[in-house]
Formats: sequence, C-alpha cells, structure tokens
Amino acid sequence: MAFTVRRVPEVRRTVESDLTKRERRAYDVAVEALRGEGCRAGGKRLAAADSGDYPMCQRSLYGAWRLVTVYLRDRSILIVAVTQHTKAETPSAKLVRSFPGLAVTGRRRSDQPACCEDPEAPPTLTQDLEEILFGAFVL
Amino acid sequence: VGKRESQQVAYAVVELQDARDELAASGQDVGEALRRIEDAVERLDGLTSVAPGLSVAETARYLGVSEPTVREWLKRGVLGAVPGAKPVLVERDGLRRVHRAVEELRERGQDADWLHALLDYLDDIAVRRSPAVQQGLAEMAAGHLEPA
Repeated sequence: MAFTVRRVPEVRRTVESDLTKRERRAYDVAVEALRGEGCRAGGKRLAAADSGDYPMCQRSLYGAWRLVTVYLRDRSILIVAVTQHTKAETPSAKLVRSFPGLAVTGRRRSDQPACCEDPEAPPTLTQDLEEILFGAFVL
Repeated sequence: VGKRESQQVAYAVVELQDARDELAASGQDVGEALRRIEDAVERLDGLTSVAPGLSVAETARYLGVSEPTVREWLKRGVLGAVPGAKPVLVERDGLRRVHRAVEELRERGQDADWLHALLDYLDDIAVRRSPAVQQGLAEMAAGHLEPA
C-alpha cells in the first residue's frame, strides 16, 4: 500500500535552492521510500520529553543533510524539514567537549530506535540537571 | 583587602556552603559541626569586602570545566554575571546549583547506558527545537501542505 507523502513549502524551497544534484537525488530516493514503506523508511525515532503530538523521525540523506518527518493520524507522512546536521555542533559533542571524562559518542545507528518503534523513555534527570543541560547544550 | 583576596574569600564561602550541605545530607549526627560552619559562613558573608562573585578562572576550577566553557555558559544564561563587574564575576547564587548538577552528571555519566541515552536525548531534543523543524511545524499547523 502506498503512503501519501507531503511536505511544507519551506522544504520545497530548501530542496530547490540549497541541495546539489546528488543531494537532491538522495531526497527523491527518500521520498520514494517513504511512499512505498512508510515509517520503515523514516530513519530513527527522535526521543521526546513527552510523546509529542506526532511521532517524529530523522533520516540521513547525503552528507550532512537530514530529512525530518512526522506521521499523522490519517496515516499520511509529512516532511517538516530538510536540514543540515553539523556533528561538531550537536549538543552531545559540545557536552563531551566540556567534560572530557565523559568521552563517549552517541550510540551506533543500529542501536537507536527505528522510526516505527515506540519511543524509548528519556533518561531520568533531576530537574536541576535537565534545566542546566538544556540551557548549556541545547538552546 | 584586595580584589583578589576578596574573591578568594567568596570562593571559600561557596566551598564552606558545599561542605555544610554535604554534612547535612550525610544523615550523621553532625549538628555541632554544621552550626560552626554556618556561623563561619555568616561571618564571612557579612564582610563588606567579600566579592559578590567568583572570577571566571575560579569558577572554572570550582566546576572542573574550562574557562571558555564558563564564558559560554555565562553567554547562555546558565551562569549569572554580577551586574557591572569588570572583569566579569560569576554570581554565587545559582553557581552552587550548577555545581551540584555537574557533579551529578559526572557521577551518573559513569553509567554508559545512561550516558548514551542522555547524549541521544539531547541531540533529539535539539533537532525538535531547531528553527527548521519549528518552522515546518508552524507551516503544518497553518495547513500549508503540498505533495512531496
């Protein structure tokens, strides 16, 4: 069964103006995969503090480009963003830089929750630690 | 008292307050020791010569992070700067809270599973909160959708 895949106008603008031909091809392949396979082609499930309004997933395209999708109740799929992921600027990289004793990298992709799986519970954090981590590394 | 000495006293006050909190949390019968520490803190804190904050270098030493990290955290509002102080002083209020959180992070970060989950979680939240995703969600809420 084919899935309906839509996008917001900003995604079109990004695809048309910012992606190279090769990156654009990767985008087209991802859209086709989403049409055919649904969430199985969505990449990894993004964790959230709460379950959020919709499941949200992120799939790698080409190089640093990532495609972010949400899964609506009518079973359609919406591409909400095509955005670049700069590894050095991720919160985890910044945290590890600030605390060399915690020198680990994120989990391997194969260990991360697949898009179709239920989200994992976020790690337990005290309120102080959560506020400070978010303040220092996320926003 | 010179500026340097007054900052040293401020540092000592912060460390005494930490020691007091640790003793209080130990559950042991340390009432007398606590009272003496509190008296000392009060006397020191009452001195007009005590600096209202710690220098960036002292804050870095206290938290066990680098000076650029302290400056970054000041910029992001995780640490507060004493208004008008030049060079910059880090406000003592809030600094101990950050210290406790940092200690908690170091302690719990020894658990590799917890740390991996934390790193993934922070990255995921950053994606969710990124301007690109927020704009996409706003366009979705406004019903601006088109075929992919």
